[in-house]
Amino acid sequence: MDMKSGMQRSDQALVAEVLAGGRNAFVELVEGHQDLVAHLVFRLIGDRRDAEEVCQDVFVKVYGQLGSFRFQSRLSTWIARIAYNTSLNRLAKREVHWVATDFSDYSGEEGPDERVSDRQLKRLVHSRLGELSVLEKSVLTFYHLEGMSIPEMSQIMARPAGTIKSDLYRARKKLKELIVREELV
Amino acid sequence: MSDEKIQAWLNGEGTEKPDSADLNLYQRLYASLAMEPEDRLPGTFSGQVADRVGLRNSHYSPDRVLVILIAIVMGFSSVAAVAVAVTYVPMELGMDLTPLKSVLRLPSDTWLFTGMVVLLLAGLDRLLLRSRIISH
Repeated sequence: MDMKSGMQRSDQALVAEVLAGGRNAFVELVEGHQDLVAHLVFRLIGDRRDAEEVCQDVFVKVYGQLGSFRFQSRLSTWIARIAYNTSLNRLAKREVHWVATDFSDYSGEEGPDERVSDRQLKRLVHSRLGELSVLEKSVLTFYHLEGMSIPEMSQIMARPAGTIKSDLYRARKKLKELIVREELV
Repeated sequence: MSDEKIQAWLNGEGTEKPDSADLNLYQRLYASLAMEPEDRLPGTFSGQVADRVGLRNSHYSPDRVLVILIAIVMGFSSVAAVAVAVTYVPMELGMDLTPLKSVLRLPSDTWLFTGMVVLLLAGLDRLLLRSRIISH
């Protein structure tokens, strides 16, 4: 038995228990996927309270639609797709836009010759992630944070694999430019 | 150099060594994407969602049956009543007993947890009873 089929069986057992009304199984399902959902939703929505609400909505939808899940993909891929679509709907409905943070309060503690520390750079880049599109933030999160493959991302985002590859290339290029720019500030 | 080649080299698979500028930028790209601990969902999140979809603990779960059997065997003693009062009732009211469970190294399931507390208290009760008999 390979690992993938083992995982699939385990997912199937978990889903069967949830469908039978098992609270503990559902809690296990949520705990197993909440980081995946949070990583994406927090990136896309920005506002923490709003993002937490969206995360809850995602798992409520997962529960409601679990009976129609046919294991044609991994459970995590299916959940990520629901998270992606729910986030996009929320962004469209509430017109939540990412606004690039104003750095006028950033004192620039280092001298001109000193390197911006990793933590400060991270804080700056996090804020400037707003300059990336929803699509770019999504591909970066799925690929770099969740370690998803291009075919999985293609399923989640309903875009051809070739397009995802170029989206990813563009997003990385933009983020690298951002990092270089911040380091030179 | 492409990110894939850098990743392969970091994994010990690639033969082409990236120059330090490329490597540094790649590592910074990863660092900038990592989530901060404060970006995580609260520990009570899964329970909240389970409540929201209306999933309650099963009233006929094997764990619950076990606890009821223990209580019957013990003749609904005060020990069982105390155990249920200090474990099940607070949990039904939504109190987080996770720290207590981790301290006592007991399972997370409500009824199994209650059952274990019943057994612990029952054992303690027996010990006290025995010591009283011996002292008389």
